[in-house]
Amino acid sequence: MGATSLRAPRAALLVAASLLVAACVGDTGAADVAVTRFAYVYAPSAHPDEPIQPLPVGYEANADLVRLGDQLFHDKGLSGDGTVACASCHSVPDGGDDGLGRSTGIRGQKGGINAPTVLNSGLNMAQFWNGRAETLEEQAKGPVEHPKEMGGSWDAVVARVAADPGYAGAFDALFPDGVTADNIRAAIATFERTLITPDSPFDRWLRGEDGALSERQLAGYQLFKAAGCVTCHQGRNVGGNMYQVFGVMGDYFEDRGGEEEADLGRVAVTHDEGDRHVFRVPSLRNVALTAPYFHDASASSLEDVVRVMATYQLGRMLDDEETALIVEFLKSLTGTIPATGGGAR
Amino acid sequence: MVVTKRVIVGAVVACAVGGTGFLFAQSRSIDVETHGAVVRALGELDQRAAELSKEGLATRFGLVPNYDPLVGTVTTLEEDVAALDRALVRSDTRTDAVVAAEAGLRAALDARRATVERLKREVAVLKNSLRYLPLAAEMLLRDTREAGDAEGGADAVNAVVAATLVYDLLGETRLLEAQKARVAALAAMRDAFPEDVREDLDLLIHHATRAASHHAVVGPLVDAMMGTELEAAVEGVRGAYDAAFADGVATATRWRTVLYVWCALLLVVVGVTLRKLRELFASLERKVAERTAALHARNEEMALVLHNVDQGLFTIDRGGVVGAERSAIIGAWLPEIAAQPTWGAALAAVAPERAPWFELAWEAALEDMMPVELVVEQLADRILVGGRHLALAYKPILDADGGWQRMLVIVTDVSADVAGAAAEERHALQLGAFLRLAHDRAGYQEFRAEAGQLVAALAGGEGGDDGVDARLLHTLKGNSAIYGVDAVAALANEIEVGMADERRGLTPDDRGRLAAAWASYEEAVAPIVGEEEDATLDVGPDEVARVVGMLRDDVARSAIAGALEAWQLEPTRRRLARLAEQAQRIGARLGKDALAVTVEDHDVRLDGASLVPVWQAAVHALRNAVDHGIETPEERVAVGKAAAGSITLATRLDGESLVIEVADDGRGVDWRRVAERGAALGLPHETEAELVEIMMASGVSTRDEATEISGRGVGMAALRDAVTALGGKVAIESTPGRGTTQRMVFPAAASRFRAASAAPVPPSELPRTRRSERVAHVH
Repeated sequence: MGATSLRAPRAALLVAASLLVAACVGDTGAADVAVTRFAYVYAPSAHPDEPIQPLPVGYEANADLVRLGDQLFHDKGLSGDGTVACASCHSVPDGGDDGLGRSTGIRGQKGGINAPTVLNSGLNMAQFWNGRAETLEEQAKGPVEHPKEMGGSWDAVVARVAADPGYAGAFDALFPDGVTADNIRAAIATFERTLITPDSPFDRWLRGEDGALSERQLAGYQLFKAAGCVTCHQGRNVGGNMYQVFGVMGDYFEDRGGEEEADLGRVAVTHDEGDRHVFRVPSLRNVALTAPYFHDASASSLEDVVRVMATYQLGRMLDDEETALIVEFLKSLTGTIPATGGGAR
Repeated sequence: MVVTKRVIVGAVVACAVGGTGFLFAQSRSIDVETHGAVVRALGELDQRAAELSKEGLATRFGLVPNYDPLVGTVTTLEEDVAALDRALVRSDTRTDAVVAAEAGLRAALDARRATVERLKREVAVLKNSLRYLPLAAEMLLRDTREAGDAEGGADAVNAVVAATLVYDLLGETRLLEAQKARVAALAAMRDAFPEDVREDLDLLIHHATRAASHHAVVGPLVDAMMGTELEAAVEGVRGAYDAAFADGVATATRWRTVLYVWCALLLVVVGVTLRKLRELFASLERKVAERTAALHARNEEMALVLHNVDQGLFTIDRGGVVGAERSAIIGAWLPEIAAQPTWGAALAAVAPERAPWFELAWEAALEDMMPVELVVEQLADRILVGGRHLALAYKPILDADGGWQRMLVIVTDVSADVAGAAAEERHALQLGAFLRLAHDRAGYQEFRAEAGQLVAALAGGEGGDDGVDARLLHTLKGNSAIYGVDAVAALANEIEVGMADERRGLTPDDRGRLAAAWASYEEAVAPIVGEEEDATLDVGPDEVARVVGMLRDDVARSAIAGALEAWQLEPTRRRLARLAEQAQRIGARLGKDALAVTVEDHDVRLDGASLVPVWQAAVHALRNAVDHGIETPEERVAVGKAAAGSITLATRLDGESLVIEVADDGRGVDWRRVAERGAALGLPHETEAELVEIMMASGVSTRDEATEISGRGVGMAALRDAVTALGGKVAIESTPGRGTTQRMVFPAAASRFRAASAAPVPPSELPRTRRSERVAHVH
């Protein structure tokens, strides 16, 4: 009886107090984003007017988060049957891809499109060939649940990561809400952003190291610009910052012998017929390492690529010498592959 | 009821605080910081949109080396919109209009982004063709020159390139027409070119056509980039937000007004409540004061009761410290308590001989080893303070686990009891003394005398040495025990034991106590034993038996005392006994040996001195009886009577009258001779009363000759004078041949002479002449 009689006013006071507190504090909507803050560090360019600019030489990021992303990136446990990791198809030491025209998912399934490289992907304005993901975080959602790729589910991934004391501890230390799908993807994306390949000969040349390029490479670059390649492959990532129709000057797909689903391009995202066969212009960074080429992996050598591009994109013919020069230039875009701590778990 | 009240109070308080909180929140719904963030984001968007337009234009005209800045600006725009969205979500002024405007902005941004993407794409294609044209022309003309000339070919090629570039630069329809004409002209010249270069020519024409047609594609895109849709959308958001904000401010202002009114109301309510409370408290205080007064009165009553019982109460803690609360009487009985730190100290001050006993028992009590009932039994004591006998009883105030921290001390004034006990003891001593006296008066008196001497010797220290003292003490003890003087015997025993234990002689204290004990005994028995021999009581065995019976039957002490008191009067028995002796002596002298004299005193006692003349006069009656009444043995035998005559002496109380009789069984009065004598003396001699009068007249005697004993008629006259002087009468009853009774009657004698009879006998039951088997002892 005494307790009851006490409880009523006390409860009322509590309610009132909480109302007051709520009124005073208000809504604190902005979450703490410090952990996922990421910034690239650039070195000055010696040729600022060139359409191509050097890659960043470093980055500022939370080292623990990067380490965690590295581990997750290499963790096959993120797939449905524990056989495929992100790194399975995007092997960093191998140029950020798997060297296959069609990647192998769980149970040996073949993918529908040539896996793009993860290297310098943080500098792309969008992910996937058709740019359907604007960020790496968004990109990471796809392959995990794609039945032909990792064939898992994010719920399962979260459960598995949360069950791992090492992961759980790391997440709890980094995020107030601990292990969540968003936080896992943030870790992976942050790690991917660190996968830059600075110090390629061409970047060194851009930064003022005149002897970094051979004469043929320099000539190849001049031709790269003169031939019109640079109209699309420009910027610090030599591409990746625009979309373009595959087949501006000719019908590539008809010539190839028919159209597949993967050939639809950006129309699959925007449902605008004007975007049919439109693909994100791929970065040419480390292109020497990422054969086979094109979304359909139809080209196996850089020479082939240059020729196809000249024909269907530029509407002109290049002779073998011109092709070779451009290929020489392209090889100067191979930078230092970052070391990653993660191994397949 | 109480609960309901509390719930109501709780609800009211909750409403007050909650309402205040709610109103406060409402009045603060406009967050200046958030508002700042929205305004800033909108400003950023304006700036960014303008930048985007500018960069779009720069891109179109190749003024920027790559698309990175454009991409960056779009990204920034996205971030700005997201920031605006966050700020708007945070602000409480995100009305439907604002949400719709935001959607419009989002759509405009998406459209602009699509335009940007398209622009980048198309500008790339256009640039490719435009950039290729001069190169293609140069290569074509070189090849043409190498393969032979084409008349006007170079001009036509250059014209196409120039027209295309000019059109691209200026974009006028007129120039497009001109370009198309140039291209057509060049195409018409196709066959004029060498066969090897015709393919290159086709390519050049293709790029020129493409460049021109793409200009039309890029143109609207650039226009779209320069369009103000994005700015308009931003403006739309701003407008909607400003309206919502204004509304919010107005609402907040209204709420603030309400809040102020609410607060004022609350203040009034609080004020009223406080006043009510004050009144309530005042009435409460009043009630408390009344209650307190009532309680005080009752307490005083209680205190009165407490202070008027013949018991005093106080408490002591384990340290012996006396509690402040105590009966008032304690202050009067034991004033030392206030002066001493502890009860033990106070006790040591008022009753030093009992203090060690208390300390010992208290120590035992503190050890908590013994059951507390035993402890309090040991503590209980009796002290004599200021002539008052105080009984001390202790009662532990037990706590929950059976231990005690305080003791209640109950002090009872038992002086009356002690006095009563002393009185009782006195009575017992007196009774004992009396029994001794009755049984062996001489022996008892001898004991008293000897004991008195022993005590005097012991008290005065006359023994001189301890051995003598011890013998004297032992004798005293033995004799005292034999004669039932238990107090003296016990004291002597105690002193003996003390002397033996401590191997010492008598202390002055011992001597004093012995003297006091003996004096106390003597004082107690004094009324019984009397100061002198004369003062000794004369008590018959049945009187004693009766008193003993009364004692046994627990008859009220006052009655017993009355009976004993009566003993202080002189028993008539003694007088009668003396008269009987005199009768015997007279009888023997007159040859009337072996008179049977019976004394019937009926336990009548009289104030000794009061009737002395009567007793002396009674001798005359006795002489009459023996000399004139009783016949000679020969005469008696001749008439058939026992040879020995019989005289009965009696006293009795007849109502308030004292009757003294002298009766004989002799010849009786010869009334004829009395009448003759009266006639001879000239006296009336007709009635019995006249005849008795004649007998009483001085000088009348029925005897012819005066004897040594009687005969001159003086006796009866003296008797009558003595009796009459004390208000009595003399009567004579006589039956010739059977005997005569001479009776002295003193009406109301009991009150006048202090007469008493243990058992007054009603006159009807009193036999005229009764032979009593009891014969008085006369000492």
